[in-house]
Amino acid sequence: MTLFDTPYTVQVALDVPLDRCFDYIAPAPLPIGQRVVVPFGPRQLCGVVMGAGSLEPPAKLRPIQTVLDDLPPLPTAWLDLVKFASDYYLYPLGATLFTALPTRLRQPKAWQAKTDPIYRLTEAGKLSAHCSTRAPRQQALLDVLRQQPLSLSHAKQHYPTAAKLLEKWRGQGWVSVEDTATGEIPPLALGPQPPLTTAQTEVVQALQQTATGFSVTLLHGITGSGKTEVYLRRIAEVLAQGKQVLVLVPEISLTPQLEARFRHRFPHTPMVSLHSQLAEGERAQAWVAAWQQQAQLVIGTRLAVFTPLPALGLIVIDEEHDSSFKQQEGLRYSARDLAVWRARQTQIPIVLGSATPSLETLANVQSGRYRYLALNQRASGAPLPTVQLVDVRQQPLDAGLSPPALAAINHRLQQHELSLVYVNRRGYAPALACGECGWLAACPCCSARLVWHKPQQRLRCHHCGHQQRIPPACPSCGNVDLRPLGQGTQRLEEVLQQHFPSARIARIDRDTMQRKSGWDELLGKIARHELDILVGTQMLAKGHDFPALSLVVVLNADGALYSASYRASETLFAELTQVAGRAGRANKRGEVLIQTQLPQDRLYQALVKHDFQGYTQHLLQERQQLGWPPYCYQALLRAEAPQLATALAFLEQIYQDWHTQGEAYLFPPQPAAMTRLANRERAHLLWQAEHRNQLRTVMQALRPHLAQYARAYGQGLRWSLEIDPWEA
Amino acid sequence: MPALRYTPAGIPLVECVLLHESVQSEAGFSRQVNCQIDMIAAGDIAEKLVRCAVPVACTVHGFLAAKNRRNPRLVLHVQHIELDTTN
Repeated sequence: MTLFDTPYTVQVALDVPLDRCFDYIAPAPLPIGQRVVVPFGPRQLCGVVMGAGSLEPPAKLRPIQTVLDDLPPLPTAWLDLVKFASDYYLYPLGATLFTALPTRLRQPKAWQAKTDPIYRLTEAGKLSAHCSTRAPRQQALLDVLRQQPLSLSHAKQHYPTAAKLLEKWRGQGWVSVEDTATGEIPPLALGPQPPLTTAQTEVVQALQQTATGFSVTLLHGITGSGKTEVYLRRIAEVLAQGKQVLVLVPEISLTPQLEARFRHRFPHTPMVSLHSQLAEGERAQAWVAAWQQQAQLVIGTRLAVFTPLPALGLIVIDEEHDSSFKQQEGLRYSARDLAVWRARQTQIPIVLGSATPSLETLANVQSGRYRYLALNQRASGAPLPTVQLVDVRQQPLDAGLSPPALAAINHRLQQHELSLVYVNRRGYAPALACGECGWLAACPCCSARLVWHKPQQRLRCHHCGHQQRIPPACPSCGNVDLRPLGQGTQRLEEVLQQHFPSARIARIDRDTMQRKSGWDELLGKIARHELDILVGTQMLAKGHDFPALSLVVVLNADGALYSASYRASETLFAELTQVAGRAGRANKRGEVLIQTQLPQDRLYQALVKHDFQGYTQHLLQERQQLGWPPYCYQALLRAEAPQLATALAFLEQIYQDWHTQGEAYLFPPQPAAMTRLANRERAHLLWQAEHRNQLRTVMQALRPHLAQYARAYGQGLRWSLEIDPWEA
Repeated sequence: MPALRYTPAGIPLVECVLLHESVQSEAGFSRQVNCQIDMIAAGDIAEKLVRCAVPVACTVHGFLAAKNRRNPRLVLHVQHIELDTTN
């Protein structure tokens, strides 16, 4: 191939940590967004065409190897979102783009869509298809087929082993099969809807007023107030217009429950869920389906914000305050903030829902940028639970449980009601100590203690994953009588079983919920009233609706009040409001007992009075007085190295060169709160400014020099820049 | 007899009280001595100890250590025990 034959050059974005695109020779003019395979050094990489290259190509340019025509070029609106994210978070464009693409589409080969045959009921089938009365779910699938043809993937959502069943029916001549989807979206059908309460009706009507154009609405509904029903009503209206809806939820654990509810309401609407636990192929399939408008409804965790949705008509963010919307590595983006940008760009409404809105969002309401709608009553008519504080300074505790807490659990057992014991610590005990010499089992790689996991007979670090066997004697003094300190979920489960031998207890934490089926099994048991006591961590605090749950006991929550993080009280207050809100959602009055050594603390007093407004106002005033977010803008430069001194020296040099530059205030380098993590020692630099532009100006100026600064400190030094850090 | 408990690493441990009675001489006088001390046994000795019916007469060798960092009270840690099975 000579240059003369190939006059076109293109700029290609690659998944490399460099701040630039690369020029390649193209066989023909290529559209922006086209995926291509290019040589990069000795490797072959997938790249995306971002524009035309230089007019006169230097001779050393290499040609594009393959143009991937498996899919159309990536849409412009999607590329705009990626460009914005790259520009705002000051992260390389190529790396941002490849974070936003599903893994399968990042590979230097064509993507092969899984065939998804369409099954259609034949005339014979319409007349004679039937199934056993003892197979109601098969019958349900047949009923859906009577109304419309179904794709295999869609059929599987109704009946998990649909493939086998449909083939059987095909053998009987009841159904016929076609190869691919026609792309037609079936008309909107609605499952049964509960009647709205007066308050819900008002909110739905208010939302209809902002149905067109860009608007951000905070829907602040107390726990159990029926926010989801409000979303469903709004979503139905948008779907009826043939538009797409994006719903973001914080936890993977919440998606199956919510998905089932959406499926029930919109039985014919093609819907996909996107979260990190999906297999790569499934994720790419769902992503492409959303892009090709074969899926109308997308439910997903933070990464779903990067789904291309050409007909997007509404975005809903449930539990908008949740920290899991913030990505904590690589491209450190906030899915909530990107979603708001996306809504503005697309000129559509976005609804942020929460029982405990974040202070950022509340500040945006106060400044008039966001609209505020409230649901102040529970949809079931049940009152909010009574919240009582148990002062544990004066109580004898049994493995952390006070006599009033045990009595309350016993009472619920007698009433055959469900109790939840909430302790945000998994494992058996958060520390193992020697009473003779004071030794504590510590992680060799982190500044953290090791947690005793009793069933596994291991000590584990919850930060780096290090694990080891339990020392038979104190490594410091030789004493064999090592003692566990504090309570984790495993220990509470054990102690509660001793107290209540006949109680059926389930432990819910990251260890017991590792398998995908864990949640389904648990939810089934709760629904069938096969459990009496749940012992769980914050996994249980979010969004779940357990009608039989009438008592919540909170243990060991005080720690956050001593935390150095300015966000700790906001987070704790939200967490406890949420967990308390699990109690008494149906017709039973809920009861919440919070064990504390600080019953006079303002946070606990506000919880007793359900005074969300008062407490958040107090926190906002505090933040304003101290000039903390949301009343300032921050950027954080993190550095880590095998030795703290290296990280600090790197940051100190930047501090010396930059603390007099621009209008943002730069604090001197600080070791991180948890200095050592996985054998690396960490420190950071914090910039703070009153206006976003002041911060942006200085960070944009600094960003291109960072790699140069780092070079002097060798391979061991790593750095990352975070805009709007969650914690500083 | 108090129940056996296990350390996190699975070593059996038992805590009990050792009673002592004897006659000793002091300043040329013979006198009666009665005392008791907390006793702790670990490992094989602990298992041997819980198997016998208490109270049991025994001869104990061991060392003394403080109860814990905050409590200087002495505890006898058993290194060797001989159970007196004559009665």
